[in-house]
Amino acid sequence: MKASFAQVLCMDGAFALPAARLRYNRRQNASVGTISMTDPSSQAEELEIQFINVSKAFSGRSVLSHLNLAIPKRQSIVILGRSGSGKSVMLKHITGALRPDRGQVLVKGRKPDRALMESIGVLFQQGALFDSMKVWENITFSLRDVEGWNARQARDFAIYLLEQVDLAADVADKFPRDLSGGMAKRVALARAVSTRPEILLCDEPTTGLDPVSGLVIDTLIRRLVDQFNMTCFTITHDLASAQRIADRLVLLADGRIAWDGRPSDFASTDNPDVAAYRQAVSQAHV
Amino acid sequence: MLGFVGWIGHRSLGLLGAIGHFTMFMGMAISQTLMPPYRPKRIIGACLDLALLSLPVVGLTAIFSGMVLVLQSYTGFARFSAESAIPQVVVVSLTRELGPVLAGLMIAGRVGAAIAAELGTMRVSDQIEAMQAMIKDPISYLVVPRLIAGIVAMPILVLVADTIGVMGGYMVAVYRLGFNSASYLAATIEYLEFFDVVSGLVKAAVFGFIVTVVGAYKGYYASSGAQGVGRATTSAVVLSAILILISNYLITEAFFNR
Repeated sequence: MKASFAQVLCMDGAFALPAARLRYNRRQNASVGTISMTDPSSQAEELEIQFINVSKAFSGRSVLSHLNLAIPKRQSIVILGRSGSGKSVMLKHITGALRPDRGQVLVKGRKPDRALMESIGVLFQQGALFDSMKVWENITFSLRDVEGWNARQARDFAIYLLEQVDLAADVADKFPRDLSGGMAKRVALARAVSTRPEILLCDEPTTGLDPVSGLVIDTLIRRLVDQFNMTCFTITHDLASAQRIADRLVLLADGRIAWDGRPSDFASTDNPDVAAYRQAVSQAHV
Repeated sequence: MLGFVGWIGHRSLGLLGAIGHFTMFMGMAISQTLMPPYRPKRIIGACLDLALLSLPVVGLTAIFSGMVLVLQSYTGFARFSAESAIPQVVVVSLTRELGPVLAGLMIAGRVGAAIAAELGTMRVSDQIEAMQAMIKDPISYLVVPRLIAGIVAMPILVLVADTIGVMGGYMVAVYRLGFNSASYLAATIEYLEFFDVVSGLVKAAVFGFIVTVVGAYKGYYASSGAQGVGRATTSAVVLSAILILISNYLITEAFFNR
């Protein structure tokens, strides 16, 4: 049986470093105990991401309009929508890259800032791997300064993470240009979870991938989210991918939430926006 | 008429906004330069890239400039029998003016363009955004080492280029025009003042700063895919060249009469 991420961090002296241990302990303590769903204060604490009456416009064009969304901890939510529906704008509000014109976005109960990014991992649409660095350097980029690892320790840790995304150890010494699209996306996923984030943001995770690679990425995201107890916020226009990743599906249309529910209900709902989306998807496939 | 005035106002505000934006970027880069982490490996790498890898092209420019300078000076000075002033003219022209300016322009084309292209590519492929998401300051990581390299390595490069240029002039003077070797070298050294060299090196440091900060700025804010990166690269070279020529005059004016 594979050792968990955290076990590896702590069982080997090389990785049992203060910052890593602190993060792990914090996560572990956070998951201990049960939270009463009837207690409103506990319920508020349980929420990881909140959009409260958020509106955003660019050059007079409304992109998000009075949007309300509450995402509990450890939920994998997928925002579906056509291009220009406001998905990316939502994601950028979570990272703090954009600020709402009206309303507020809260992540872990506060406005997004630089410090909060420590607990967020991002899987970018094109992977966004650093061309000039080897794969292991990419994966441990944000860790080496913090943990004080030398190159060997960092490379060993990167190899462990590569195993988590089903990649062989020899990939560690390759450059991103030597990887296929699917492999690069898996490396990017390993990098996104390298800091053991509490929240994973995925921007169109299957874009540009063939169906098989897309399936692999979705499976890996789902597996890592469950394994590391992360809250996962994914934006995509790929319905099949959304069904595989999501605990909860949200359809965004014209900057508002058109439908919010379980993935299994998406196919059967008679919501007109959902029907229009399903039709658009089927036409695109034809 | 009102439309024209409005257009002028709009353009002026745009220009002021761009200057302010650039100044803010420069301020951020300078303030990050003074703050840890200092990343010595990246600084050394950037210095080697700027100085060592640029040496062939800068050296070639310098040697032919020195050679041409001797020939042209000879043509003019021979008309009033002042050939003996050629060594002084060549060494002063090269150390105070031609060395730093030509090296600056060559570095703008080689290094400034490369910085803009690299950072621009990183910007359009979300690598800079990824760096920010990983709580690494892209300016500290990507811009500061290059900025320090520009300020430190450029004067060294110009010093070498000056020497190569003078030697180029020496070769033409001695082997083509028949000057006495020992007299030429003696005149070169005798009339060269410490301040000539220093003023050239100050220019070199300023040009190194300009090339790296402009290249980084244009690349950092590149947009619109490959076309945007191309535009950023071109405008980095053009803007660097213009700023080098303007600052060259200002520094020369400041050092004038010394």
